[in-house]
Amino acid sequence: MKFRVKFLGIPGIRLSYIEVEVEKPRVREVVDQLCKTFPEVFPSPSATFQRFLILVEDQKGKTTNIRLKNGSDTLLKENESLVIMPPLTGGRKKSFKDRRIRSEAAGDHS
Amino acid sequence: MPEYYGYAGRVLRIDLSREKYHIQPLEKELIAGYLGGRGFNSKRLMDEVPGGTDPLGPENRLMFATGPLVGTGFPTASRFNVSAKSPLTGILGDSNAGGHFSAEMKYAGYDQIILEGISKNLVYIFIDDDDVSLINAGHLSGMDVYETTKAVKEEIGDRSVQVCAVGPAAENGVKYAGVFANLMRAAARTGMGTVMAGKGVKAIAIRGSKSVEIAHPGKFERLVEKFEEDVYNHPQYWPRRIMGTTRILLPLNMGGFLPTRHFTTGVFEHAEEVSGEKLAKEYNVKTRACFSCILPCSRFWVIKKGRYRGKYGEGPEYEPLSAFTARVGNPDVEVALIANDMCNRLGLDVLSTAECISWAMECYERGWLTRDMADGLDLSWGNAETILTLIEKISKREGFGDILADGVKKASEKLGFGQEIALHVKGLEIIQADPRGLKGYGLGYAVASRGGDHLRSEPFFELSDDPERGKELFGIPETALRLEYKGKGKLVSFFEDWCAITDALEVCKNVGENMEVLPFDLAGEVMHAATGFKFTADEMRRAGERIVTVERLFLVREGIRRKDDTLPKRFLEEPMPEEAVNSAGSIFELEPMLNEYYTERDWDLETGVPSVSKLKTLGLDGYIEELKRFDVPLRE
Repeated sequence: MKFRVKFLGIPGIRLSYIEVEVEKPRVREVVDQLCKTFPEVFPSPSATFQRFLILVEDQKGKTTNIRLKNGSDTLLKENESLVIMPPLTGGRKKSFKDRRIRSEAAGDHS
Repeated sequence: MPEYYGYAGRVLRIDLSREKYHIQPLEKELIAGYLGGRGFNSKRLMDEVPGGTDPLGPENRLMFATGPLVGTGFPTASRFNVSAKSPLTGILGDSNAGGHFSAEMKYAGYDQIILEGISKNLVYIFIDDDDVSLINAGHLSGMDVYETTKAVKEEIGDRSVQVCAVGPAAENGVKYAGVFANLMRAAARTGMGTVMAGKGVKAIAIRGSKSVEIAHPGKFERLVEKFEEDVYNHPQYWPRRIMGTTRILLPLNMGGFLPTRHFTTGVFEHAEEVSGEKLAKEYNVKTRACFSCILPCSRFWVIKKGRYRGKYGEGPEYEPLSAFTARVGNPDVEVALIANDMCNRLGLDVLSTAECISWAMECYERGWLTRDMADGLDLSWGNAETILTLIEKISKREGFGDILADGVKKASEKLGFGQEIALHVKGLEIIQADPRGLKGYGLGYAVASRGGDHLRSEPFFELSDDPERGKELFGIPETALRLEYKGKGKLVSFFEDWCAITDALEVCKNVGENMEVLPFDLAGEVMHAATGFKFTADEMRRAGERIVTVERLFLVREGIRRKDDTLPKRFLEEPMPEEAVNSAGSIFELEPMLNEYYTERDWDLETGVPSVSKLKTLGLDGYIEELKRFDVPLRE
């Protein structure tokens, strides 16, 4: 099956979209293919899921974050596309509350 | 051993009426309570500018403040705040800019510069370490920001001197004129340039030869290295470096909350043609950074062909780009580049300018405003010539531009129509994100201490689509969902406190807050390493809350109450249209969000005034008698 993958503001990719052919209509399969096509930008599926925002877009343009669906196991329907973009939010696993570790690591040796 | 680490330790006061100045030591209690920058300015405005002061009178004070990390080399610590009572809104005026001016202030030996009184003649101020001169600037009158900056540098004979200046818009009394450093680093919101010109000051030039001492250099260096590593490895690093904030135009359009044709819809059919991607591919030629920044996000552009061939400039950020494209219905990105550049040169706030123009366009499209009333201009959506002509007319207060020069609130009152579609909060024109598609941001506009603006809170977390994280961090899953209203009071108060300390430390909010690399605990550690003052994460948050609260006291003293913490009718009553697919049908639920926010802040639900117990907790109970004098209703 063929699915369109749209890129929004991804450094290193000047195309606005590509078409990806996969056997199983699953987000993970599409991202696997993407990593093979653009290894410099998407070095691995896990890094891609961690660093980028991935949305499923239906025919009407309605988008849903795969996080709110079934994550990388989300099954794509015919006429659905993927949208990949850098995170709009902080976009890090560690945030707000987890910084104590960092402060301790920095230490006060002066 | 120096008396101060991190801080310069001195405040410069210039009395323009008497043509005198004096230097006073920085009060250590001010550091403990308010950290620096915006915190210093807000506290002093509350103390030194009496309630009811005329914003353009001699009693108003114009304050410039830097933060403790500025000049230390801490990445992105390059900002300064300019504050006064606002001539546009009549409440707290405050704006923040980057560049190199702020670091030079520290090197000249000042944490804060306060302008008092009014000069008899137009002057520029030259601060050369401890020497301060008021120099006649009659010959600079009418010059734009670029011309003024160049002329001042030439007169001083030193190209490295740092200059902030106002343009002709400020001299002509446009109520939303800004102060511009390094040509186009704009502290443009709330009319601080108008106050500066009203005081008879065309520019401030500054040069310093001192240094900033660090309390714990080893620790500081390690924290800087870690901070840099976090920034360089961040997924937003390259997108921001290539496109700056313009990177968000297409995502906002996809989300259905890109303000289009004066917020009548949330999708712009020409978004691709006016996007950050388009600028990066076809116009941008190099990047530029502020002082000690490792993420150079500003871009120089050149137009290589067509009717604007040979024009060049810097920027734009997302706000002016979308304001002069989607908001006014203009599909030509080159017109937006020119419009932004004109505003920078003339010294205008792009957001207020674009709101005034797009409001006039909607009034025209509805048939309320005619060509005759608008100097014969065709105000149809996206008319490029009209947009550029109106910018010029506003800056000169010429014809119809004179009406728009007082801001959209006053313009609608003066003309007697369009008040319900004048998009402002407390007189400040709102920014470029539709609150119906971003509930937390909308609440932020409603309660922001300077009026309709996102930079007081910037609760980006609601865009994360991560309810589990919302539950973990705020106890409410919906805080992570932009179209939900539940939990947004808690979210906004958290982010307001965070923004307040970021502004107080004068670190770039795009990096420190938006990229989540300088949370409260790390900020406290950096503060300790730089200044020697110990702050835990809780104490940092408490300082942020104190800054927000003292600003609220300034507002309530001026008569602001719950009824003023609102949004324009459009957002409360008109659902987002169907075409804005990802936000379709959404409306802004003000009251429950406001209740939650006041409860979180311990402000009175009926009046929006901070409770006496909250004032005591924050050490602000010394203001109780002052508030009583102004009949502010107080409850325990």
